[in-house]
Order: sequence, then structure tokens, then C-alpha cells
Amino acid sequence: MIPSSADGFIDVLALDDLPSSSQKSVALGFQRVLLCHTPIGIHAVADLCPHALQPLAGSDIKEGAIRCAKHGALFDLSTGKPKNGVTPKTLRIYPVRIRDGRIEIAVTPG
Amino acid sequence: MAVIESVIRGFSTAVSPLAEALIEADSREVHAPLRARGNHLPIQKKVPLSRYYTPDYAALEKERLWKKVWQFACREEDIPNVGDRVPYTVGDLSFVILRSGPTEFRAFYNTCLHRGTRLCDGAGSGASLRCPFHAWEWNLDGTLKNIPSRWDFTGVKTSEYSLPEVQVGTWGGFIFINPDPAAPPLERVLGVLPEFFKGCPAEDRFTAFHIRKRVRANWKVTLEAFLESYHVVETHSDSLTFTGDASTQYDIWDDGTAHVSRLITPLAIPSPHLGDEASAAAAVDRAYEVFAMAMPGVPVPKYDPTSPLSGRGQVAEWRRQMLGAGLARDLGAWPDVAMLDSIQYFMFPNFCPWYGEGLPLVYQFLPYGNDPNESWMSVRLTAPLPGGGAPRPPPAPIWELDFDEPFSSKPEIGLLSLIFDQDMSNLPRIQSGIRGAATTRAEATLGRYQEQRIQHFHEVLEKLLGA
Repeated sequence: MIPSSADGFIDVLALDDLPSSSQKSVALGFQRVLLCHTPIGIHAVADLCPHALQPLAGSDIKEGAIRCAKHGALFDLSTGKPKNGVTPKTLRIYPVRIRDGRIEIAVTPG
Repeated sequence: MAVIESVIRGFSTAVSPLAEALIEADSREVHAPLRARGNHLPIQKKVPLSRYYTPDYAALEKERLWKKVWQFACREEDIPNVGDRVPYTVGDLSFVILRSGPTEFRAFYNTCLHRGTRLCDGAGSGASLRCPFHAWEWNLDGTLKNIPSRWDFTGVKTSEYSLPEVQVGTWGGFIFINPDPAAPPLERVLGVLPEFFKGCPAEDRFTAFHIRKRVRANWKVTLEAFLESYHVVETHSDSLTFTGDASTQYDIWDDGTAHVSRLITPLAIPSPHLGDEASAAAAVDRAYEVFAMAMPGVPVPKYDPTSPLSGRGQVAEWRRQMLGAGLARDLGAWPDVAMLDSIQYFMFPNFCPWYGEGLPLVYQFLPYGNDPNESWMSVRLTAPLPGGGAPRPPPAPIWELDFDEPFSSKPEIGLLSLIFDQDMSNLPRIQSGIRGAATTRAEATLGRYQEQRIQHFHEVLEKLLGA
């Protein structure tokens, strides 16, 4: 079981371990979540591109969007919506908050 | 003068040896068949893409393949009691497979002799086969039992209205049928399988999970996606840290009647694609995690550099103990290769029984209805029968997944669901790409070693179809 607070948020990483302009993939049970520290904030998305189900970690991030290194699918990091035509599918995103220097994400079924 | 072709048999690195070398280094005595090497190398030629979508080719397959070959239909445990039956449907052909006696199985065309209604739509049971339209009824041996308003069918002789029967054969708990009455017995086409499976008897296993997935791709496209590990580097890139994809060993056994092939993909080593610097310890750790996914709540060990066992030996030993305890069976003599690796056999035309406990699956690939652009893939996950006198578990229910339903809707199969979904995401793309190919380049080019099983499949298919 993954410990979570009453409101469903889970502590996944210390904020200090995710410097500006960095990204880190963390395991959440069987799933992997990609944490991205960008100029507009910290984002948590599935580390699984919905196009060919490949890991996104290491992909380029520019202007709030991540471009899958494999086949070029581009997603808005805030909404998960696709920004080009490689796939019509949406990238799963997770709500993020910072508490006491820790990054917490909310995991809901689905 | 004959030219002897030199084939490069896989690619290895300092930390990612070939499967052959890993078998040599096994901590246990390896079952002899796993050391055996194939006796056939198919002739290299391109494969015309038209055979994956034209109705003419599909029609030829129906007449010269599906009506002529031995084909896996179901498992004995699917129909455990006398009178139990399941349909076996291949394209628009359909057969009803039933247990007609305690150890006797029969198969009939699944069509009523009155006006053609399909007799069996899904798993069922009963003392007779009865048509839902007008209640024409047959005994389990296929003889006519009853026709309502018999007085109205004076021209129908009971002796001439038995259901048309097809040949049935069994091996290892698998039931096969062949609609061709002149076909040689099943044993002739099983080839090396009965001998090779003596160390891991398929009859001593049961179906723990059974999934049938509809796929928007020709049945051969779907099959061929599972006959090689060459696609792992792109399609399953997240498995490279613990999968010896390019170290895979491929073998083919062909005596002109039996057409069998095998791949052995080692696990708990890094992919040779990751180079000499890849971490062997990380490969072991990841293999522990992946195998532990099937055992929720079990503590996940880590690679122990002080152990006298190799990294693979450590994971194999842990698997022997965990599985052995769970099943009340002694797996102490099982070699590492049979505890860890993906050992997949293939029997022409569409049947893949896997060997050992690394990845104990059974695959079956079938055309779906009349459309050559669609297929079925059936996946069974099997387990050894429990020891200690426990009864045989009941047959697993079939989970049917429609075209757009992912395997991940069945999280019970753990990481396998992601791996299958990765494969599935390719298949409709392959099918549409094939259909849209330039006329001048409408052929598939196959790798000499890693894709030889696909080449072999087409070699046999072409001979059978004469096209």
C-alpha cells in the first residue's frame, strides 16, 4: 500500500531533489509518474506516452509542453492534452501540491 | 558449388551474454531439449504484403489452410464434464468441441443440418446438442436424436443426418482438430513438442487466466508480432534494463510435416543494446520487481553481491522457493533458464505453447469473421497444478476484450498488461501501413536470424497454399 493523506495526496519526493529545469521518474506501485520542474511550476504526468505506451522520461520540455523522445507526440503539461497530431490521446496528469518542502501528488482511480 | 551461408546468431556484450552461454552457466542441469538446436534455416525471401489483406488470399487460407491443418482448439479443462462444449471459430468456419465421454472428445461442424443455424455460441453443457431455431437435436456422439414434427421429414434418414465430424487429437491437455479426414495423425505434426515438453508437462498445468482480444490486424500480422524479440528495443523500450532481446536464441525444427520453432529470450540481464556499461545488478533488481508484481505483498529482494550465486541464479532460486511454496511443489531441480526466461514454442500455423515458469503463456491467433483486416488473439496464463492432493482448479472464465479495450483493463496480469498494450498499439498501424504501401515496395524484408521464424512460417504457408 502507498501511504496517502485523507485527501488522497501522496508524498513522492523532496522538493530539493527536483531542481529547476529537471525531471524525475518515480514509481507509484506498478505505475511510474514523471515529475517535471519547469519555469511555470511543478507538473506530474504519467511516465507513459499514450501514443505507443513508451516512457516519457528524458523527453524535451519547452513552453509548458513535453515532446515524447520516441515519436514526437507533444502534450500540454498542465492539461495533458495533445498539441500535435501524433496521437489524439490525452496524457494522464496528476494534481500537485508542495507541503513542508515535499512534493505531493493526488492519485485518483482511472 | 553450394554456398554455405554464415548467419550471425545474435548479439552479446560483456554483461549481456547470448542465451546459449547462459544455458551453459545454469546453476542446475538443464533439460536436454533446451540445449537442442534446430535443424532448419528457411530460404531468405521477401514477403508480399498483399497476403495480409486481400479477400482472395483469405479465401485461399480458408480452403487450403484452415480446412486442412491440425489446429489448437481448446484445453481439456475448458470442458471438464461429459456434455460440456465450446465453440471453436476460425474466420467464418466454426466447430463445436465437446467432451463425449470421460476421456473422449469429439468435434463437429457447428451448423444445424436443418436450415444452417449455428448450434453452439459459447461454453455450455448438456446431454445433447439442440438447435435454438426448431429444436433439432443430436446426441453427444453426433447421431441424430430428435426432429420435432418428425412426420414432416419423411425424406430424412436418421443414419444420414449425423453431424459432420472432424478429426480430434490431444496432447498435453491441448485439444486439436483437423477438418480434413485424410490428414495424417496429430502426432506427425507435433514434431519435437511431446519430447521437448517432457520436463514441463503441459497436462500438469491449468489455465489461470484466459483473455481473448479482438485486433484490427490480419491474424498473421498479429501472430508475427509475437514470433521475434527484435521489436523489444522500440516497442518495449522500458523492458531493456532486464531483457536480453538481442541475445535471444532462435531455432526451427522442420521434417516436412511438422513445423515447429522456438525462441529463448533471457531475462535478468540487460539488453545488449545498452552496451558493455549496462548494469547487470540493476537488471537483477528489475527482474525481482517484475516477477514480484504477480505476488502482491511479497517483499522484493535485491541483488546480493556477496552471494555465491550469479545474479540470474539468485532470482531463479527466489522464484523456486516462492512458487514452490505457493504451489506445494518442489521446484528445486528446475534450471534457471526455465524459472526466468521467455521460452516460446510455435507450431504451424497459429499455436504458441510456452515452456517453464519464466513466462508460462499459451497464444492462439485466429482470423476474425470474414474480414482479413481483423483477428483474434487468445492468451492463456498457465500454472502448474497444485500439489498435495489439491483438486484441479476450475477453468478460468474467458475475458473478452473488444478492439478498443486495453489489456490494462485487466490489472490482474500485472506488467504483462502494459507489454500487451504496447504490442497492440502497433498492430492497427501495421495493418493500415501494409494496405497503403507503394506498389513497387509492397513487400516485407525480414532479419536473417531474429525474424527467421516468420520467414519459416511463410515458407510453410506458401507451400500449403501454392501461392
